[in-house]
Amino acid sequence: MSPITSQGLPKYDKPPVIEVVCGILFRSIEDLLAPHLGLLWEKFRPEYSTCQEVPPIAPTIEHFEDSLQQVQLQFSNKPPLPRIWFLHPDGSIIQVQRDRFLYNWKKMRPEDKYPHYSEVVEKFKNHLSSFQGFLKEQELGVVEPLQYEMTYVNLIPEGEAWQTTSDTGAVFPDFTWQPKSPRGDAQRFLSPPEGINWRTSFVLPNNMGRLHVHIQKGQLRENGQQVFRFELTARGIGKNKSLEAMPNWFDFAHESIVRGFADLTGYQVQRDVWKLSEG
Amino acid sequence: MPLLSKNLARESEQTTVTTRMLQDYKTDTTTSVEAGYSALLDYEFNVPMFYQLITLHEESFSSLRLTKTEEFEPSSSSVFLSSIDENTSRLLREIAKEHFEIELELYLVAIYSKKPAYDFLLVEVNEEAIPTGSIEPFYFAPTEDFPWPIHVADVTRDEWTKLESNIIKMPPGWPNEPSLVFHRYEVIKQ
Repeated sequence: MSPITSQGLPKYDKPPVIEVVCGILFRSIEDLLAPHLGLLWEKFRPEYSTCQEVPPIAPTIEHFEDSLQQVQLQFSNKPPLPRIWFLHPDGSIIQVQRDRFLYNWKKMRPEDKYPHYSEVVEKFKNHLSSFQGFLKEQELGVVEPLQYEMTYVNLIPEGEAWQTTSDTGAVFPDFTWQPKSPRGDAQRFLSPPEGINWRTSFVLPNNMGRLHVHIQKGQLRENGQQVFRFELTARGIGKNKSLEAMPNWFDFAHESIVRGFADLTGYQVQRDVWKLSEG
Repeated sequence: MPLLSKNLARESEQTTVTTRMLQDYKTDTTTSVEAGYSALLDYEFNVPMFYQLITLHEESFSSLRLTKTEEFEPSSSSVFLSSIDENTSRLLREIAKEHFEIELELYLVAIYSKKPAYDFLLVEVNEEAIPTGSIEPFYFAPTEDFPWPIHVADVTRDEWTKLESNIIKMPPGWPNEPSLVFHRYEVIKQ
């Protein structure tokens, strides 16, 4: 794979992105207890007026040395804490758990415009800084980064870009449904697939991380609309594990995701539906 | 307190962990834990000790968690697809459409589903509903058109807001999150 540079990064006037997540996994802060999360909410509450409990995300670290799948057994003298969402009326979310801090930008209405990477990552950095300040005030410890992650969730609704699963190849050229059988028979025994659920990953240059890709066809819970859900997640940390190196990693992750998106989706759909303009 | 961790080769989604009480070396305690989930052991703080760790650490542990390298759920994203298959979803949309056409004050139908066997609860948000402060479903048996049991509960907008905020609870056995939501403006326009 060629090294990633910022030159010629594709830009879209109507990108299908509906959610962007920036996050950090850090060494678990064992002294962070449920009451502290209530105190933390007070800090964010003027903007993030509601909260919700959700199950915690398991820590997952990218390894490059071996391919052996492993489970990690963790021992702790503290019961597990839930993950807490602080929700902004505009749809954005701050997520906190004992070993993670995340910020989600979310598109709530069709007319909402993606604010672009620089604005989202800036908000993440500001909120993380507030969280670090809180940890210091409460003498709970410091954030020791183990890994960063950035996720782009794209929704590609039935309509402009595709009509049936036979059109999958127009959106994702690597998944073109061939009208003829491999033997050349004009008619195939199988009808076009009713669903798609494809998950894979790509190692990023210099072992800076891994790009996880998940393509699913299904219906949105919010309205039952038929969509492709196309999720790209970059995870990693690189050689420099200090917090000072975090902005560089996110710049790198953003470029990897944009280039990965352009690499995996059809050029015509990029140009005509998402309004591609070469940067 | 530092977190101790051990890496174990993964053989299956479920791993059995055998622990031994410090006070009684003859007693083995076996706990099965699914990867990605937590299991609290029935131990008191400062009493138990994993036999395997005695030489490593002089502290006690009251919980353990197994996680797998490849994580699927939960994820950091908040956008999910419905777990209901396309055909059933289409039938449920038809049912919702019929209800929207009959009841003009009905503005939203949220569909909750139980697995592994399909069983559906339709929470219908209707300004003409009689407020009860709870979810009280009526049962409808499977039919030829829709071969799954359906439960229907009417709620007011205020009750729906409380249900979303978890102030009003779902009846036992039903998930907290709907699998599908149909809005009047979106279903009727088609």
